Amino acid sequence: MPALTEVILELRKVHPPTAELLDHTLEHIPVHGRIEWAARCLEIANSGWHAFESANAFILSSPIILASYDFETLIARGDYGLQFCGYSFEPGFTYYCALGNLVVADVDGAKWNMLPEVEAAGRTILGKFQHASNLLTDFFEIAFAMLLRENESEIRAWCALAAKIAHRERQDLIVFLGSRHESICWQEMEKLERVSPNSFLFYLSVYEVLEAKFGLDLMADLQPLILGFADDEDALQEFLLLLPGIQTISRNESRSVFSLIPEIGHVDLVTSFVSHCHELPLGDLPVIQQWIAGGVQVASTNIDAGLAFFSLESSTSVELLESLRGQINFADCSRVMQLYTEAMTGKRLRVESTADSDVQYRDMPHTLGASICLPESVSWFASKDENFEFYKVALLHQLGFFEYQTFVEIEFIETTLTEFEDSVLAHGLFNILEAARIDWLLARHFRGIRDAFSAQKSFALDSRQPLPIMRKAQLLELMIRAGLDAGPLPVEVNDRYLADAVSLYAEVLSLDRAEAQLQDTLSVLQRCYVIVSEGDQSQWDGAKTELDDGLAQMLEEELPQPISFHGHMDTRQLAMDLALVDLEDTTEGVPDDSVSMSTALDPADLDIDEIQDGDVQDGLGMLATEIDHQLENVEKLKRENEDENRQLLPAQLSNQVREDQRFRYDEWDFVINDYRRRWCTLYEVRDCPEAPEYVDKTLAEHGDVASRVRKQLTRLKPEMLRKVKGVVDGDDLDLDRAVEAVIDRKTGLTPAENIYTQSLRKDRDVSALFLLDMSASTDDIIADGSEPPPFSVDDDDEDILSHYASRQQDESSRTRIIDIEKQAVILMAEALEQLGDNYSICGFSGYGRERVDYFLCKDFGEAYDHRARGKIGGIKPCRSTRMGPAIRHATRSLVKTESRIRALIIISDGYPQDHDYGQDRNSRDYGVKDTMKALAEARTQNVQTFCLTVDQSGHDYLREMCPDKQYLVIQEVSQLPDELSKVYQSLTG
Amino acid sequence: MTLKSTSNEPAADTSPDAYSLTEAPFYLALGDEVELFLAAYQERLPVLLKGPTGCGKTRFVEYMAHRIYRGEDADDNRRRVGQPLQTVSCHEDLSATDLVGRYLLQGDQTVWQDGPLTRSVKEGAICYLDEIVEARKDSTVLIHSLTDHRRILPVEKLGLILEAHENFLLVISYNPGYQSVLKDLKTSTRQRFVAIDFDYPDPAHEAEIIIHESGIDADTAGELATLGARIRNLRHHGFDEGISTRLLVYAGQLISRGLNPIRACDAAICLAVSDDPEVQRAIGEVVSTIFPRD
Ligand SMILES: Nc1ncnc2c1ncn2[C@@H]1O[C@H](COP(=O)(O)OP(=O)(O)OP(=O)(O)O)[C@@H](O)[C@H]1O
Ligand SMILES: [Mg+2]
Repeated sequence: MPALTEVILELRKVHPPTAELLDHTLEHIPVHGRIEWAARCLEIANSGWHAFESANAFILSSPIILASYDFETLIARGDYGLQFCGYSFEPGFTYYCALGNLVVADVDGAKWNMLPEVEAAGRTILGKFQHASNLLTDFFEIAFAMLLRENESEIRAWCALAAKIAHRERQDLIVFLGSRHESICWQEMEKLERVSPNSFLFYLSVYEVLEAKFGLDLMADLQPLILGFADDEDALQEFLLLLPGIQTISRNESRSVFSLIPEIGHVDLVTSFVSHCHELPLGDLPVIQQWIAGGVQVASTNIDAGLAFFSLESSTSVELLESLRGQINFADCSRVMQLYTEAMTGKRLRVESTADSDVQYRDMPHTLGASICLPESVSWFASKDENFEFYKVALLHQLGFFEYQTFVEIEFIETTLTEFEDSVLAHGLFNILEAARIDWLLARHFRGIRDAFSAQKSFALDSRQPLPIMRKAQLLELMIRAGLDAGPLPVEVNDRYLADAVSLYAEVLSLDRAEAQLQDTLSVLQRCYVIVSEGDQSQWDGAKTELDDGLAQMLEEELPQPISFHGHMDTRQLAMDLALVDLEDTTEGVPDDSVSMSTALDPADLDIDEIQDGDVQDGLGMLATEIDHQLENVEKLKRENEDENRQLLPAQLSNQVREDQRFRYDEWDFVINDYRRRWCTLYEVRDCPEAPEYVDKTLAEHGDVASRVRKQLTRLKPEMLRKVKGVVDGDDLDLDRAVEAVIDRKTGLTPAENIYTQSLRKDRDVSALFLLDMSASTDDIIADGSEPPPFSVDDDDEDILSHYASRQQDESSRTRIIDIEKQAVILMAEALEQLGDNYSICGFSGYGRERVDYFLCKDFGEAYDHRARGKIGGIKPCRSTRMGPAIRHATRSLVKTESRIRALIIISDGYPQDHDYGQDRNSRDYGVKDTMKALAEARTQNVQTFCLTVDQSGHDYLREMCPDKQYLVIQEVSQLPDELSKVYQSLTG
Repeated sequence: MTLKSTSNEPAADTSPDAYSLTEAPFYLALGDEVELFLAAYQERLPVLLKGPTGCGKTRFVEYMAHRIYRGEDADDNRRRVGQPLQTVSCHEDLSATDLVGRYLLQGDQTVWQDGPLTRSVKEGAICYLDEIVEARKDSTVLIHSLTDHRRILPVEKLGLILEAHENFLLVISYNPGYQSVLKDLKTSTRQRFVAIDFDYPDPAHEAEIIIHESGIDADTAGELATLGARIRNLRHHGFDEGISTRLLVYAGQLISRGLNPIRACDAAICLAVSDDPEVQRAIGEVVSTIFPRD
């Protein structure tokens, strides 16, 4: 063994300061071990580049360690650290430094006892990743931090995990060592790792994000859930990836969601649940619990059904939830509300759901011309009755505008409001005041609704946000509250605005009179406008100084939060809509549904300036008497304007593309054995391309078939019997007359002979709808009998289109399936016109569930005129064949006819097919089953159905789709017209 | 075979619609119908009352009959008429025989009995044929000879032609609302009458009627009248008639007996006017808009 001085000399060669340090430290080392210790230090310093740093650390820590432990222990630590110094000084350096810190902090030596665990794990890592000095450094840093912070079990768990992960990919270890979150519970993690190392690592990798989102306590809630799902690694990953994005509003709601997860159990279901949880009434746990129980039941027999359930897609799911929460759907009470509206107003207004109108204020009640829009569903209240009451009050509020003349004078109102300098303010004030006047009048005139209005008002008051700070916003808010019967002014009113607030309050309340007129609203508005806009501007805001200018401005302009049962009113829009409605009323021959027209016209197209530029006086400073005078003026203007508009109207009617009416239909999913709620969107298209010459051509070319069809149909006998009394011959005696005849004979008078009754036939009561498949495949040529190229489901839609487009050019002369379909209905239509049956002709096509097009060529009751003919002629192949929604829509319109016999005849060429008609693109089952269901639905509504197809290979699926005798595959396509008339005969004869 | 006429004995049992009109019925005039009727009577012009069910036609004729036969201006000739108003509600089996009279079997004998029309013609009363279009065709034939200058009634089975008493007047009613085209009044018939149009009264008048008929307070009566007016806005939804003043009076009577207004309207109105549950529900909502639940 070299002498101590030699060692020091050696060391000086390596790094003089280290030698110095060693020299100084020597006195703390037991004499017997000094040489050995110094030799260790030299060895460390020599072990690699910059290893003297590690040596320094060891030297510095040595006296500290020796203060608590014996020399052997010190040397053992030195040896252990030495293994890590070869490749880089850092791991060793970290280790030695940490040792010193540990001794200082670890008063009772308990942590020191855990050191072997750490060292063992370190050795394992070293064995796997010798050169990964950063990893090793990290390891020691974290490990010693753990030693200081955690209890023994946690440390043991962490070390065990580290050792295990060391046997995996380097990346995994990086993830592991990257997870330094203090809140992680390693014992739990160890359990997780035991179930699935992959799940464990994945969870670690997202832990930080999740904790940031949910917070510590919620992470603790989450932990056991994750453990439960760990064995299904893919599913758990999907679930974990979803969590950061869930749209729960509050922490409490997240907690509810987590607490509910165990009740669901299966991780896939949980994923569906969590991704839709923002649509659930999370504040109402008992409801959700019952709903979940229902879902679990469903899932226990059919996991797909369960998935659809927890995604709120299946009927069962939605209906259960609705019934549990007492939800009222617009659709369930739309007719009642429609009738109610007509009764209350005597006007032909249409009540619709906000979901059906594409306007800004989607969910708010509002009026658009002759349509009143109400939210699609209401479930804010606990019971169905209360929810319905909301509907009623909201509707009545809108009707109040009709009842109390607001809408009659809407043009005048709009003109008046726009003339204010700050017309935004004027509009805002008007909406507040007029809404208040209407509510008060309604409550005064209709005793029955009074309580409901108070209830809604206090509910609305409760949901107001705190009083805004800025002057204008605060004043407007106070006015709103006055209208809601808020009682005395709240104490929070800013002292500086108090005087104005008091006056405004009184102004609003002055409208609470049984005779309050529109003029009163306008006069009050006048005064309020002055108070709000001309109030003490110099000190208009003390708060302003504390806020930056932009924000202050924004807050000042902030519009009051809307009131849910009041909804939204846009006088400008209304002024235009209602003017149009007036015109519609006076324009004869406009079909019924034209009420929707006013909503479809773009307001920007109309020029309201016409009115404003007129001789209406400045609205400011107007007195009530002047208002009367102005009303006359406006009346005059309105008349003039109307004359102008009347000329415009026909042009608008034809040029303006009318918005297609939209309908939603459920779809049957045989996989989940349930309906998917409102799954498909169908557009009823009335503006179809027209090609009238096609009809003439068909009739000219197929005169013989036409007369054959006609002849066949005339054989149809009128049905419906009626009893006629007093005939000379009949199938029953007319008792009264018979008795009379007997008496007559007795008295010697000539008895009457007409003593019988007979059943007579009356008119046919038939409605028939022809539904034509307009899918791309109907473009196939059939005349020459050559096989059309097979049509594959997998083909991209665009490809199909271009494919058919190119074929169309060179083979346009030949007959296509679509032609046969069209010709058949054209011939039918001619014959039906003679027979006098009520019928409709429609086509359908579509692309995906969000877009099913339903082309209405001729509606029931509509004349078979030039336009209708043109539309039928204009039918052409489009895209896919999603039959279900088309059949449902056709059924709906057949049911509306209320005819005794309703027949639906579908003419198609191929099986129902669409790119998302079922999850499995290659399976036709989904489409077929849905079509079957739609047909069955039709039959339960007393609609007889018949499928005619010109697809030779159609037999298989058609048989499945229709009950016996309700389908026919036409072998020879040219027979279609003949067959069609036979079918018609059998259905309606 | 003996022929025996019973025409002079008032047969109260066989014509329950005949009243002796001792008290003046209440009738609230809504326009000039009273003057119109009086003028028509002075000229003995037959009168056609047009209007929906329960709007006061019957009440009006009763009132007029009282006024003419029992009123201040009535001469002894008229006062002597025992039953100034003979009312016949027509139905589809009502024949000319029912109006004119018939032989009845009495043991071995046949006995003649005058019908209400014959009675009126003989006595000089007002004969009111309610819902005339419902009756069989042969009954309208009778009307024709009675309503032109001849004023005669052929009694075929007796082989008689009766000349109408100078005080006789024929009044018929007709409800254009629910008649099918088949049962429309023939022009040749219609053109023999002076027509008076009836419709449901405006809310103010209707309220007055309800007050009088049911004895309820003015506020409630006003609300019932409002209710009637609103529900009539739904006329084209399966009940062409709207709701009649009669039903509103019924509701008023039930309320006057202490029934909750909502319940009363439910029974007297909602269920009465339509079988369509949604229409009933909608009307129920109108009712509960107007009347509080308790
Ligand atoms: N103008 C009125 N004055 C007084 N009472 C009226 C009036 N109008 C209607 N009524 C009330 O309405 C009730 C029904 O009227 P009435 O029986 O005369 O109807 P109607 O027109 O004859 O009906 P229907 O066609 O069904 O026979 C009356 O009993 C009365 O209470
Ligand atoms: Mg009557």
